Amino acid sequence: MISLENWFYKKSKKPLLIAAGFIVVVQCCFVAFVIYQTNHSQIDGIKNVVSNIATLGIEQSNRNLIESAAEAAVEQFGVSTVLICNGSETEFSFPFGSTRCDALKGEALFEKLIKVPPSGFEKYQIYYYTDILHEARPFIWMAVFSFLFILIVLSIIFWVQNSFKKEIISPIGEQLLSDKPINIVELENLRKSISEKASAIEAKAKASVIMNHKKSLSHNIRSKVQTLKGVYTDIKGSISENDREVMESLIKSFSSMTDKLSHYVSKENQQEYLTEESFFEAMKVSNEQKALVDIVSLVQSSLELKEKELTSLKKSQIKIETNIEESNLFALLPELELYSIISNVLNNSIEADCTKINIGLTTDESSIRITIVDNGTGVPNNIKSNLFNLGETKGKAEGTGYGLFHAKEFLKSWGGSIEFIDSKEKGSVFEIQLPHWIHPQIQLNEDSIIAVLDDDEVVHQNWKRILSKQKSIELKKFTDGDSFSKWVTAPEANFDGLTCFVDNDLGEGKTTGSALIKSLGIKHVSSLVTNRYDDPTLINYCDTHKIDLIPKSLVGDLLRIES
Amino acid sequence: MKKIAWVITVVVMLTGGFVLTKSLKPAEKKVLKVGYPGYWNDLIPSLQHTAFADAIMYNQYEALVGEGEGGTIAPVAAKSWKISEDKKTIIFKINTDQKFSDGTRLSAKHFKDSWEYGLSLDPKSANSSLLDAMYKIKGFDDYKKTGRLSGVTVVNDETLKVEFKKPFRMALSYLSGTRMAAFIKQGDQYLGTGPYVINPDGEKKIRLVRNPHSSIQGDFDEVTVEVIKTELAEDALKSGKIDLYAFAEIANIKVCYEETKNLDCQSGSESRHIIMKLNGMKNRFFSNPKYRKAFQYLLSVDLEESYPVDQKFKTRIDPQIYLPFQAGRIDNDEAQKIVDEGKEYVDEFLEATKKNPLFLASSTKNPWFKDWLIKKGVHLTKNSIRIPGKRVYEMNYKTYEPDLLFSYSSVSNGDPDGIYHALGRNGAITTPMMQREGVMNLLEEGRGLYNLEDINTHYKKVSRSALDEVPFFHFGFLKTVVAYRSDRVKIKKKYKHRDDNRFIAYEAL
Repeated sequence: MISLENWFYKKSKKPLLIAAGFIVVVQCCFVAFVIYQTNHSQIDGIKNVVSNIATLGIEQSNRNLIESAAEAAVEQFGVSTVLICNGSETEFSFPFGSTRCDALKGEALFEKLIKVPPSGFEKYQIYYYTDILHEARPFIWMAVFSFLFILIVLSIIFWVQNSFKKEIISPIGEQLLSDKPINIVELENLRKSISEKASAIEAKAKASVIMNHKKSLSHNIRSKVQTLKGVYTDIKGSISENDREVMESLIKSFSSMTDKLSHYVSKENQQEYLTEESFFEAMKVSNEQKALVDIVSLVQSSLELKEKELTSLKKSQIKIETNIEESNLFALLPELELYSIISNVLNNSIEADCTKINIGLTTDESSIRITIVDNGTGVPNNIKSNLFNLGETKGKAEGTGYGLFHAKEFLKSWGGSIEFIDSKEKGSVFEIQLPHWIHPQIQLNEDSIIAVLDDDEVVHQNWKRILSKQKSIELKKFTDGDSFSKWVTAPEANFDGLTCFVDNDLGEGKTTGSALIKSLGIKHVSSLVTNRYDDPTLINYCDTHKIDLIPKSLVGDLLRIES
Repeated sequence: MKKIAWVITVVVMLTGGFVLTKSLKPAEKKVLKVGYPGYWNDLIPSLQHTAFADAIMYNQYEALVGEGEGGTIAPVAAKSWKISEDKKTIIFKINTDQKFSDGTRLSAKHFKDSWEYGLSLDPKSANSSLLDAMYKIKGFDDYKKTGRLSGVTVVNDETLKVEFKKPFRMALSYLSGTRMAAFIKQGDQYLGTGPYVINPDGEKKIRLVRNPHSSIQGDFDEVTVEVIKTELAEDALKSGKIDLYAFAEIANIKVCYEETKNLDCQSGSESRHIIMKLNGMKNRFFSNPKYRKAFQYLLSVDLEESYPVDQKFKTRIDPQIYLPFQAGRIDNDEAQKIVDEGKEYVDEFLEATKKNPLFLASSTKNPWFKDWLIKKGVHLTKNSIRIPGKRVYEMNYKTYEPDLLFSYSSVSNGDPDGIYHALGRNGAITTPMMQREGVMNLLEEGRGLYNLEDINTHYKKVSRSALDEVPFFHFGFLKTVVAYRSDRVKIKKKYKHRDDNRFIAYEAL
């Protein structure tokens, strides 16, 4: 382990200081070398060139030569003062007033006095005061400049180090896991990301607790239904035919509901928060799972499940009221997704601290509208306009993973919609609109022949009851596929006025009604009547082979008999 | 880091902006403001008789040749020249690419015309300023009759032939002065081929503007020159009234020996003789050679010690007319011996001044030497006071009233014949007051010498003769100095030549 201070010193400060020191030393050596070299050539030039010219001038009594020598010394060899002395007398001097031969000045800093006796003229002495740094000055300035540059660079680096510690490392330690924002954009994004992940983990843990409650609830209901089945078996023989039919229908319905509940819980358990991209991919896949959904049943199941949740969450003070008078409302869509959407809207209401939720269901020929009204805190004004935009859903911890954006997109893909209805009343109102699946009426007349294939006697009894007032309509009853096939394929078979209602599940190991319709080639006179309208596979099969499908509970209402 | 980036960005932007502004902005006119210690009088080449006029005209007019490195002669208007074997003829090849400021191309004829015209003018000094060279030219004696110099021949536009009566060693040197330059006269205006054109700009003020046709271009677009009295020079520099003070050796500018912010001095070789002319004309006080020698001796005693401190640093006190190491200079001891010869006449001289007080003339303010003469026992007339410069010139060249006249005269380069212009019979600035027969004859004789040894030997005689006949009392030499604003003007060289007065030597900062 090493402290940050030491780490900086080891990795940065120390190498930088060594490098800077090395550069400075090299530069000093270089400058010293340049000074030595230039000074050497300066002295050589003065002694061998300038002084020779001056000596020649003395020899020839040529004052011009002496002045030229002095000029060359000053302009070319960095000489500041030239003196030609005759003993203590000053015979020549440059510049004026600086130095006299009877009072020679000493050498100043970076100044060198060169004394040259002109050969052949012993009584004279030539003195040159030279600037040692004359030639080397540009190099010295260069060295000073680069030294200052190094100093500035080091200062900046050390300043950056300190700032790094102060403004990056410290906030990482102190603020990364807190709510306090960090000034550095990237760190703030990291802090937000960690914060969101942490929230998600917390929410997941919470959801896991709820899920366990749901599983437990589902298991309990299932075991209660099993108990009910057992009791029914015991009393089956002692109750009337009608009661038996009702009981069986109820038990079947309960079984279906518990199956669905288990299914929802299982699916919910697998849900993950979706990214936008994965969401649309999931939506595509999900839409391939379309089936006929009994909306009334689904809404009721959702509400029951939600009430159980509220109880387990100790929020039973929230009252959920329903205003559903309709029945047999079907829509073609993925059941689980619609359940999730409704559940999400309900969750929103619960999170808005409402005490009451009212669910309404209305319909017309083309649509089914589910209205969810609560008396909670409502939607804040600032997000109303963006409510269905991506990013506003905020991934509710207790939700299904769908935000309102996702709900809108799903519903749009099914031909429906979701709307927030703004009102001055407290709370919020959401209206979900679904496409209403309606099967056309089945036209019969007095000459019609109806063939019903179903292994359930109750179904035959119902048909008998429905057609009890239409004695002219001939009702053919088949309880197995073989007899039906034989009848249909008999040479004398006549399809005029014939309408076949074929159940899909004809017993374990038996050919299904849908396969039979296809194989017998009677789809133009047949309808598949089934309770498995919520099976996407069957829906797809019928869709592919153009087989008419009718939910069992609907078939009675669809018949129209013309007299 | 962000702050540093901002600072760097701002600095880069400012620098870029500055450079861009500089490059886009039309260049401001560069003006050099120059102060001169005295009025230059006529600025006509042929009439040049003051050092100030010489220095100014040096910027407008170009002679055939000029001074080069090491005292050599260098081409100016002449590309080349050839001296005949008998040393009496010089053929110049004129650089006809040179142009006058009106665009006229220079030709050989311009020189002949300029010289002949110059000789026709009434001289401002005792002699014509051209005379110290012209009288040597063949046919000069007929000039008054013909108005022509037959010794100067225009062979063609490019060729000028100059023939001298006798071999003339210093011919090229004398032909290098501005007074020997070529010019064109247009009305009252004279045009030259130099880098600037002189224009009058009020009283005692001139403005020099570029000669667009000159092959030499200075850094300054314009130069103004005005007279600034010596005692006001330092303040004028400090206040920014002027950027540069020429002939600062005459003024007492402290910046030249003290560290002063934004002010500096350029110095160089000895450039002027400090002299007190002794009027030796017939029937004048100093026509008596004993008095002259007595005066010389009297003033030389304790001169070094008595010399004003503020003058001494720029002065080389020296009784001789030639500089050390100049041909013709004699040993100091020998010179002193000649000076000492005057000692025996001192009493007689002083007694004579009692009866005939001497009239001392000077344009110098607070002339220290006046009090000093009185202290030495010399009697001066009551009107020995400071006299305006113009009047001093008049006395010097025309009226000769003073017995003593303090002045400066230029030191010529190298050759000992340089003193001819002051002491020679036909010298440009000579005056009858200081003309001494012995000196004049020796100088005349020396002009024909070529052998170095002979020259040295001969001019030593001139030195002795000058100390013996005392045309003037020679205080010594002043070194050339230019004081300038170092924050405005850059001088390319540290060492100043005595006669390098062209403004192209300066650059704007």
